[in-house]
Amino acid sequence: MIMISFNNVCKMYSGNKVFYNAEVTINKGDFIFLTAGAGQGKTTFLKLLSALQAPDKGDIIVNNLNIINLNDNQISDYRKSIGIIFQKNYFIEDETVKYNISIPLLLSNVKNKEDKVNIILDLVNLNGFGNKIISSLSCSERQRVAIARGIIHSPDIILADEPTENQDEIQSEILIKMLIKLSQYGTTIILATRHHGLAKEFKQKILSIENEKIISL
Amino acid sequence: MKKLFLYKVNLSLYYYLHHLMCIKSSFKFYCAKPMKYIPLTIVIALASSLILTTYISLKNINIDLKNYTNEKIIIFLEKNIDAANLNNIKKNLEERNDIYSVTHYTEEQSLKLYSENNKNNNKYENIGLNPLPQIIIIERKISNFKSTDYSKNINNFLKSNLYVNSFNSNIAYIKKITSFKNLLLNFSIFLLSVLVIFFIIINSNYIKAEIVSRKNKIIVYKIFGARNSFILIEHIYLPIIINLLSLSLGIVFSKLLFIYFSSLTNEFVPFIELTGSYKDISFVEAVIAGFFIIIVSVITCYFYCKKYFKCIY
Repeated sequence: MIMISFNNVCKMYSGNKVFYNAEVTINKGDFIFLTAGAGQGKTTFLKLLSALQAPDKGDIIVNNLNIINLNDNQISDYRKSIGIIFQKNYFIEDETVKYNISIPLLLSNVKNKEDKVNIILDLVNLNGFGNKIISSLSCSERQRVAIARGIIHSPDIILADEPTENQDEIQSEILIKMLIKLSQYGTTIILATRHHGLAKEFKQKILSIENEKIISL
Repeated sequence: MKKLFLYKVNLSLYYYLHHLMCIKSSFKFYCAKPMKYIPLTIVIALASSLILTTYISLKNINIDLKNYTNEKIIIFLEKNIDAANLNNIKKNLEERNDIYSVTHYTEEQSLKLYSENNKNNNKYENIGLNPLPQIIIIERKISNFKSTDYSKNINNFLKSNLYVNSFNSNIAYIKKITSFKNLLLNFSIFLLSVLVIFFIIINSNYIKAEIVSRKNKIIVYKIFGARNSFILIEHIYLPIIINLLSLSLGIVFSKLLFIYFSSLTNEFVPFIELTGSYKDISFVEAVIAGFFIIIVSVITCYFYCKKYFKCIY
């Protein structure tokens, strides 16, 4: 079942082409490594998918919904169904880890937030960090909080931009294995990384951005 | 269908709950950093009290003017006037369209009227020493007294009549108080316009500062699917609280000013229940002012929040 489809997508930044008639389809439950060099459009791809940016031309169809034609409120509702883990993670710095992780649940008014937060903290190896203030965490811990926040509301799609950037090798492996397991339960996951080696290591589907096109390796 | 309905009801309830939470957190925010907001509160309070004082003055002038809906002219007649000439004068006055009451007072009646008006009801026993002449008091409809012809006609008649000693009118006072009222009204409209602009500028700067300081929170909320209205609610209550507090303080300031002004007239004015010729701002007027402040705050917040949100996303 096709979950994501890019049809003739064009995107330019002040005259520089990032995508030109880019086309790609991703199935439900796929785990995709998106690889490209720095500044080649990984983050743009994820921003287009999360409707944080609009393409100059083309259609982006997610779950049979063309997200280009959505109004503000529909975009907000659409974003509730995706989990985003960005390279530069934004947190409410003076709030606790628990509060930051529970934001997607707060916005969807989900019950039993506390239990879910505790389970997810266990999953990302942040047990006992719940009541710590975000600003007191290290880079690696912040990254894991971002991952926990991106997956806590069981989204249909998870978009992760270099989530293992500040992690050591063991922690990176644990996190990627956890995301691969989530994809086996039907979640579509796109993980953007600069490291081709990392992508090859886990033997998953790889997409690459080359010459303003998205190609399957 | 039922599931969707229940989901929507649940979401609406959550939004109402969010409103309550935001009111609570805004109060907490104000109490946690009072020194950040008190200068702003005092500036808006002073501005509000200036407007309220002008409004109270206008209100009292209007109440005063209600007692002067007609021009009153008192005509002092000559001692030697006979009944025929008196009737001629009365008839001439009664024939004029703008005059609707002509009352004649004998010497005795005019003395009685004088004593009544001076709150002295003692009978004057020695009428032979009465210094007052016969008088005619006419009440005249006030219409466009700014035109030069308004008083010319009647003045010429009274001046040319041999049996009229002199006459006096309260039109000068009415003219003065009406022009002062108009001046005050224009001033208050100007003041209100300036202060609304000032109020909007202060609020917009405050909102900008708040949004910049909560930039991360707004981005996180937006990324995870919060609607604009949801984020807006978080920012709307603190300005409303600040502005309502300012208005309350402004009312207290204007009351203090009012007491000071009243004391200048040597008239006793109690703090809450005001008797006598002066009227203070009523509860309903205060509520209307509160609503006005809320509406301006909400419109300003809505407009500027949307503007600054766009810069952030």
